[in-house]
Amino acid sequence: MVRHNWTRKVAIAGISAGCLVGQSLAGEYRNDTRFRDAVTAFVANSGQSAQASVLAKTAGGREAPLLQVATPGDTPIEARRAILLVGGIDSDCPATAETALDVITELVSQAHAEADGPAARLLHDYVIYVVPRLNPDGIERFFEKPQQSSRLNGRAVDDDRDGLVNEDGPDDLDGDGVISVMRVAEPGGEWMIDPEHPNLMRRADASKGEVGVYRILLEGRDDDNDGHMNEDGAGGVDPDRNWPHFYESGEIGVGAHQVSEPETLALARFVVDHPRIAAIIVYGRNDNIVSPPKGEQRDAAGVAYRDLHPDDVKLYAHISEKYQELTGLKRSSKGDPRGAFYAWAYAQRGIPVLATSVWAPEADKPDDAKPADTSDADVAEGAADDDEAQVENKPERRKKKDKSDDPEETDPVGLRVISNADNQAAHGGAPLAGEWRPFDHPTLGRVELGGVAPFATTAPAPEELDAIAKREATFVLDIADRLPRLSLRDATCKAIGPGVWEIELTLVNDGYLPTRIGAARLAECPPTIVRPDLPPERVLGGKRLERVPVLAGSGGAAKLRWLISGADGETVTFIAGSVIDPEIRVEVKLAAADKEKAQ
Amino acid sequence: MKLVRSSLIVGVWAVLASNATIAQDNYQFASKTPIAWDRLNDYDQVVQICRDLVAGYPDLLKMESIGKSVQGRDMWALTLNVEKTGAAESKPAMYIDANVHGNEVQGTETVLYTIWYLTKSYGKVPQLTELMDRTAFYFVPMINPDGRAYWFAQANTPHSSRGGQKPTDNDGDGLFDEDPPNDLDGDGNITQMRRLDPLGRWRENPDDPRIMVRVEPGARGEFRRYELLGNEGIDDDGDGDVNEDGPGGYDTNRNWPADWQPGFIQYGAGDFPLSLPESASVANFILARPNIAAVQSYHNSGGMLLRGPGVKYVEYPPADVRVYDRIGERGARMLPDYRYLVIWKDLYGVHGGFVNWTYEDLGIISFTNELWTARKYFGTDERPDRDDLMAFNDDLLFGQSFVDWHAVKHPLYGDIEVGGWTKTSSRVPPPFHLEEECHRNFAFTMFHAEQMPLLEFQNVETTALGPNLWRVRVDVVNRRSIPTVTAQAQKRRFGPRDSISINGDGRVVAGGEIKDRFLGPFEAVEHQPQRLWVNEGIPGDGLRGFQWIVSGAGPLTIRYDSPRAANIETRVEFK
Repeated sequence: MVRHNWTRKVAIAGISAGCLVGQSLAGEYRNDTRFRDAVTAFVANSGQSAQASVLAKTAGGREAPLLQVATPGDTPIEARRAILLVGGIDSDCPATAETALDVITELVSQAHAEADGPAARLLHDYVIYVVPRLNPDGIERFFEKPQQSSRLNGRAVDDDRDGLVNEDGPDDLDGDGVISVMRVAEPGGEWMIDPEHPNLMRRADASKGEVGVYRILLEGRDDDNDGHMNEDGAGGVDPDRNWPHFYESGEIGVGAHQVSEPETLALARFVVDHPRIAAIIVYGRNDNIVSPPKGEQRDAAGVAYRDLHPDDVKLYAHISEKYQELTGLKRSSKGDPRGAFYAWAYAQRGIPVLATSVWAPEADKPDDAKPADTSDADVAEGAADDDEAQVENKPERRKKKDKSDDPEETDPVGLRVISNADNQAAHGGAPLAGEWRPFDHPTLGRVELGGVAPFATTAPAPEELDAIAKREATFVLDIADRLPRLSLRDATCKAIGPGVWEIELTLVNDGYLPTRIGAARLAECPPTIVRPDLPPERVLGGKRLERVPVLAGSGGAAKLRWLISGADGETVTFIAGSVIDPEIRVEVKLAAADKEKAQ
Repeated sequence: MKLVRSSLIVGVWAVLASNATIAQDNYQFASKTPIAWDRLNDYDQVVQICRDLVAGYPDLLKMESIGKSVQGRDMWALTLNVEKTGAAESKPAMYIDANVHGNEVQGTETVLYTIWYLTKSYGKVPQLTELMDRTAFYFVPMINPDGRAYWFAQANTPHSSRGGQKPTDNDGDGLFDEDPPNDLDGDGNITQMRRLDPLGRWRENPDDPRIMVRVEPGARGEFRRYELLGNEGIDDDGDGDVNEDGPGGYDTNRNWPADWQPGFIQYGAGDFPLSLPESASVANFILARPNIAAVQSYHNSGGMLLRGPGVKYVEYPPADVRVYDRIGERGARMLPDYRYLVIWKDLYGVHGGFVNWTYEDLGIISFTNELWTARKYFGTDERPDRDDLMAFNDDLLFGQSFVDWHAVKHPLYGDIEVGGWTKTSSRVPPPFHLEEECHRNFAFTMFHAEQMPLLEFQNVETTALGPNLWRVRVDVVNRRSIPTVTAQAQKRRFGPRDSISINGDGRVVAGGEIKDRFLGPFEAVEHQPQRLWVNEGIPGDGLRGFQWIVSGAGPLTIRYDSPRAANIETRVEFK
């Protein structure tokens, strides 16, 4: 087990153990320093119930914080089921870090406001772990000038393998503080102006006779004069493509190998070392709640499911309805499980994982079924990819992606999303690139700068953050209510011979979720074990350890039976539990009475 | 990679050539570090041997700990490098390790033998001296130190204990390693248990009572019937299963990143790739050394030279398979009882294997040798049967590898007998075979190491094209079988690319590769002709030509840079 060095709780006058304070939400984006201050303040204002530690120190030298939140109760914290909230893993979605910290702040406030309300029960019965900002290196780019959307962390990576690191990133050519999109009129270009939205671009469809006339790049120049534009910018590794499930080995930005980064390694160890984590909610670019995936594609070995296990599809569909009802979020960017944290935790650890983007920009057409998608980060990476292909002169190097699977491929990358006016509204009037502006490029000649601004499609306006956190907090409460709840019930004791007793017990799951979801059973998560607390020689019939691989939710039950030896009137304890399930006990009195109810 | 002056190598070679006659006449020269090759050594003894080797050859050997095992043992790495011919990282290097499986111990002796033979041969055996002058070697003799320590110190079956010693809950009861086998008679071997039982289904073989055979239905006559009760053990945790959660319970050689699959697909894979401190330390060591151009991993047993893929759905590029075949087929000749095989096709499926990672992700030609085979017992082509095994035990080992059945008390089963093959009976060679195993495998790795890229310039030509305008052309030739960039390394984009650059007075007007030596113009690049990127490297036993058009008076220096070859440089004058 990894021992976390929880920072000492800050003593605040007038706050006693377990006493919570109402805290208001920040309603803003906080840079690294301010975010860490906010974590410290949250802990200080949470009495004895919150502790903070450093989960990992990143390649960029920043700290990814870890919070543990639970009020004292009869059950020790390490014996409780846990819920893990993860935010800020996708640094093109900086709001998700705010959401993660704000959600737990909101829950603590609610627990303070209503001492026997659902939030108070949540913190009393469970432990909540929060990793609010897994990729602090990447998120800091949101606050830097020029502002640039990137999913990569701060590791120095030689993307184009020329022996130099980060030597040719995008450049703010026009000095407006933002890395915009650059379009270059060029015969054979893949892109055309969207006839419906003149400010937006989309890929030309030659099969319909459309002619591509533009090449799309991120704003920049060929800093190292190698013939390739922006092919080796700042960073890095995408911490949400660095996980072992459907890992895209050898691709740019996925890391030297799986869980290669300090922050992903630390989170992997944390999840592995905390098997009582019964649900994970990931706030990030991926979604599996608003649009639960339906495919049944398997991995190369033909065993693991790329998306959901078939047995879990209906559960997710039901939770999806509930989520949309609670949060009002009905559009999503879908999820890409390849190397993603949410997919790993679900498929390889068997944990119910709910991933949401917490916000989506307004659709450009209300009836547009297709989700609005992504940011110019895609253009950055896409452009680098194209250039790399040229560098390597091996276009077949890249695996052919299944386009139908990949929203980034089917949707015109981050450009055909919303009109400029919608942008302005979504960002509270913040200045955004929108109109295409001519610019004299040092090597390309006359180009135009514009397109959708960085973060326009992935970061809600600050004023929206509080409401998002409050909505997501209700969903945490909802999920907590759905976790498995085990009890040992209906104990019967029958004397079947001198000193020999037949005991029957039923293990029942009153929670909504099964004790092991489909993915958990496939991943061979250990079973729930039920055993009489007796020396082996007193168990005459039945198994000394009864293994219950799964109990369905909503009342799933397993009837268990033993023959044991014992004296009339003796009390025998039966214990159920596992590394996953908190321990429960029931005492059965050995008595000739036909039916002895358990206590 | 830093530059090695080619003149230095030539100089050393010239000196050696004059001593060659003397050296070859006498290969029985002593090492400064005498080592007995008729024994296997435990962890502490291996560390001491390493220290002694370093003490004997401080100019050639360095030793460092690259990490700690689960139980806190140092993971020792030795670097063999001739400093006067350049730093290790400036040369192509071979990485050799052993003992990833705790019980597969003799690979470690093979690594030690390799170090021992090489160090004593430097300056005495021209062929090896030349190899050591141009290459470097990294050795990690024990990459699973806890597994080795456990195998030597604890009682084991002929096939345990494979993994590391990280406590693992094998039976899902929340307890770790709580029910290991138990050495009932304290003889250091986990053998079989049998109990007299009138209803038993086993009997002693009438021809050899040590061997248990099934009772044939309807068998007549007087004989004792037995029940076999499995490996020595007592059900320590009282759960009704015997020996179901012993030490460890995972496979250190399924924990590597290439095609890693979780435990429900690949037994023993670990929580995630490189989740073990041992594999993470080795991976960091290798990733930090882009000059590694050859990899060898020693296992036991079966007499095999193995290469990937480990699974059917992974394919190796044909160009690299040709290199593999050249080395592997030669190896099968040097190791007459060994066979050159492909893991998934000829052995079994492996996800997350070590040599799969070093080749499939890093593009390094990598072999796993499975040391020792029972085919050597009597020199047969096929594996001997059980009677042959017993005959070998009796006639050549004087009965030392079989424990005769003898009575012990068992807490559950009462009066029983234990007996069977010892832990050294199957997977490790008997002492009189060990040195030959070491030597032949060592020799195979020397052939492999010899194939690491060796570059030279050929056909350096300058032609006047006009006043102050010159054409410069050069061929870069690889004199060995392994390309500077394997097809797999290129496909997976591992490491910095090769490049050739031209520097000096004058302006490089154009430059590019000569795609066809006899036809057509060269392929002029659009940018930076003074440094050409050679993504595909220089092929094994092949060459690539380059050409520039330069204005100026010279002289110029042409230099070829490759992470997996010693860089070469040549000077061009215009006349």
